[in-house]
Amino acid sequence: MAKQHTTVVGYEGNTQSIEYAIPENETGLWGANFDYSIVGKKNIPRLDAVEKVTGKAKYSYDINRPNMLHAVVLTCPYAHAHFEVTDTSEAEKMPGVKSIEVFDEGGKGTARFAGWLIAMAAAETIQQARDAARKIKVNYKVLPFVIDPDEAMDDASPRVNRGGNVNPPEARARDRGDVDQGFQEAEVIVEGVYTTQVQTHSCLETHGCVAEWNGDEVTVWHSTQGIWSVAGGIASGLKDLGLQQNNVRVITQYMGGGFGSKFGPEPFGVLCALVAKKVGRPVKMMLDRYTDTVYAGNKPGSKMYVKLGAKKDGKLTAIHVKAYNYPGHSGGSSVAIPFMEHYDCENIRIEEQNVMTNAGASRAFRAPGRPQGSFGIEMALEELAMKLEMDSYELKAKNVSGTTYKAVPYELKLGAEKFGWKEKSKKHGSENGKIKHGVGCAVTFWHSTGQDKGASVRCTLYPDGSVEVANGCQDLGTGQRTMMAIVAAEELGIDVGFIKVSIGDTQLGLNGPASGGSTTTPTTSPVVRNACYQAKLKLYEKIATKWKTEASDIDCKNGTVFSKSHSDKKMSWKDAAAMLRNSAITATADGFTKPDVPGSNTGAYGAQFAEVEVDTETGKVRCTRIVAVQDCGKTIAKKQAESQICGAVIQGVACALYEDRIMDNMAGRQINPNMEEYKIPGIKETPDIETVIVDVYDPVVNTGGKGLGEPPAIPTGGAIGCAVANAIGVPIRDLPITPDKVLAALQRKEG
Amino acid sequence: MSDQPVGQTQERRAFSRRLFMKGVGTSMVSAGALSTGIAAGAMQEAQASQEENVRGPGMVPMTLNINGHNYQVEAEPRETLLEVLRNRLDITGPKLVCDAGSCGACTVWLDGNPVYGCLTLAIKAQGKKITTIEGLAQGDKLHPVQEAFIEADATQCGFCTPGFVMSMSAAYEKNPNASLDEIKESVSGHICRCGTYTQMLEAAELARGKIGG
Repeated sequence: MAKQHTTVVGYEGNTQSIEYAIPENETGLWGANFDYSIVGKKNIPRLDAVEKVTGKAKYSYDINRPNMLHAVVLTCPYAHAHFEVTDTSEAEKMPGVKSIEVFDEGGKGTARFAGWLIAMAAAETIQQARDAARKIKVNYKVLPFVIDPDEAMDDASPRVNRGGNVNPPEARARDRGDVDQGFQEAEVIVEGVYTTQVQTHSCLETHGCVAEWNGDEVTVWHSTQGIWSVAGGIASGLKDLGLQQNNVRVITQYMGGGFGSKFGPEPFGVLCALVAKKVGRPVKMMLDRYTDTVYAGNKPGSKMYVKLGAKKDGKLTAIHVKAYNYPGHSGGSSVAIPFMEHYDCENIRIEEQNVMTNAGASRAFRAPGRPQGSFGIEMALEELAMKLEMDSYELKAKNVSGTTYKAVPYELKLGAEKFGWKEKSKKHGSENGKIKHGVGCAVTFWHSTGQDKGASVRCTLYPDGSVEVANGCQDLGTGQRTMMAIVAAEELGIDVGFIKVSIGDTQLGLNGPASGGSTTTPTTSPVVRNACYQAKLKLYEKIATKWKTEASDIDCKNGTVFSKSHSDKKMSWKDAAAMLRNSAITATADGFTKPDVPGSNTGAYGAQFAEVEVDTETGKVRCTRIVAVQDCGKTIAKKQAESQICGAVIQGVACALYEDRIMDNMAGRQINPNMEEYKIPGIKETPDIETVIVDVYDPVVNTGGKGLGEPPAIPTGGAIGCAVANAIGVPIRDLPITPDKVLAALQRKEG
Repeated sequence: MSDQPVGQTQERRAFSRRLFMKGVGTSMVSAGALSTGIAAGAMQEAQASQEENVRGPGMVPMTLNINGHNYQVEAEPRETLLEVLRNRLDITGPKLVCDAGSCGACTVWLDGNPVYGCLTLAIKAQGKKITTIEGLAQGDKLHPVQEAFIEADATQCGFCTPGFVMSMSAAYEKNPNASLDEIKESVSGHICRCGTYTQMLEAAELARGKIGG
């Protein structure tokens, strides 16, 4: 039976009332006119902050089990080679060694990049395991390889895989309108080739796990963004042992960074569990830094040939992009969305291909393809502004439009005000002096789609007033526990201190989403609400009997349960819970119903403004300030959201100015597979960041919450690139913007 | 030497400071090796160790004073303090991340001075007061820097947090009124991959308010 509701949606200056229906056992939207006590308001400390600052938080890497073995992997040192493990006897005789296993059947196969997994050694200590791995005899037949993507496109180059190096052979095209017509209408055309680098995830906690058997059951503490996909992968990987998934338990209580690279069981996860079974002892295998860097994923580079057509007033008429993405030996990427969705244009054609090379496989990295595409479109627009001698903010503002749920024009304007764009903006390259300053802006968009059947949440109310909210998701550092507690506390009308959140364990038996795609909040938060709603109604029914009223007449706010019709009838939450005596109330909600409201969308939008200073003598660029305006629908955990936005911005600064996986094209190996020569920004490279969170009430889910991990990570690089162009009057089209490129550009400019 | 590289271990063998220091620890370094431009401190350390009895390469007993307790532990001389803490004593607050002194996640105090646990041999940490993140709070009373990290939400994944907290708190222990620039300097050898620096700077200000005179 569906129930009709009304609420107010939209954002400041653009709201409207709507009607919608959802089933009776689910709760309605909070919306813009709800009297929030906690959601989006208070600075709620991260639920696990004490554990994290005292070292008590146990990450998978920190799990030490009695009698545990330590394992290391052996990888191929060549970019392309047939290999065969010929002799493990010497390794097996090394002190402390308990197991030598190979990854491929028969210990042979073809390595397609330097870092390919070959074997694993397990021993009493990590030192002994390392010693043993070096004694494994492997025959290599080194094959021709190709590292440089431009070379790889040449038909005469060595083939990385069986097919050609350019995939698909014919570019896949996405079309909107008529791009040729659009260019005919254009009064001005700009063209440029923009390239972005390969970045490594460099998660501080490397990939790996601890596996331990108890009879037929295996427990795996895995550093993962998806405990369920790991459990499924371990079960299918060991099905020959008769293992079924109901005997696999995966635990991830704390996770030291994933950024999109940690979803599967990994071959070493399966092997770890296998060795633990064979030897009859727990096994820990966490990758070393080198292997993690070269093996466990990266963000693909790209080369984008961009052509824009526009009217003299700056309105876009056509966008044509031919893009090549560089995912290594496997994987793929697309830079299309920022070109198609960030700005309004009726005529678009995007053609894309992947160019395979003998390098580590790409994995999802915080908004796959988006920072790349954003750099391309923002820089091309910047060059259009330069050509038209227009202010680039004015040009960009002219090409965005909004709706009740898409606040990007509002956000762009708000950001310009907060940033002081008018005062700071000046003609490109017009500043004199050694140090030149520049400003740039960029917009962002990400579909933070909630999975309506993606989560089961259990809410348990105990007689002492304490509450447990449980779901089979995991917290990779976003503040998932805190977000769930805030939603539960708001729904129940009590303090966050009452709430315990249980996650990160498949044994909870509660399906949960993988932490990826900025989907965890929109997938779990509405179900948290529904579970709490159902649990509290059961409690309210008990109270209603006592007060001779209906459960629907009862509510709870700020820890006081009261009758809406009789204001004298009230009691504390604790007293209400005490009515349960020796029992507890449990309610489990499976998924949620999407309120079907026309125009509602899952997009999270925003705009960023960057200020840079460029030393024209050294070529060094410093990003000094960022203003990040961002919505994630209705923000739930405000403090944690700010932290996440700042983190995304800093990763964007890294993309713009610092990080670069550098390959030796002759040796076929990464030159900087570490944290020393691969430059991740530190505290001294951090700009002054101002976050401006905009609440956009969108009836997409009952909390209005959308994901935030990815959206603010998209536009920073483009904004900084534009600011550099503004400072020196010449665009640098190749990320990262390092001093050599700045000096070369200045030299070209001076001529 | 190895037949096959483990990851990049073969290269690292040749160049890493830690492995060099491990060599020093086992008294295997000849005078010739020392003439290749090593810092004076390391030289003195190496010379001093040559005067000690040769120990290892097998297991040797060690006594480590950690967070006010003496631990008797058997470990190989080549094991770093970080490895012994984490793998032999289950003190896992200090994290293993880069294993090369680039990221600071393993930071502990030796006699109150922050050091990289991954660049310190356990055997050389004997006789010194070792403080890890687990020993920073006084019972249930958190260190002001820990409190400030909580208030400023200066953790995301939290893997770097113990290291940052140990370096920042050491800086304030030395100078309760340390400036923001001094605090930046004190944690400039650390990496936070989630990019929580903005909140750490906020925490630094909050902590100074709690500690400073």
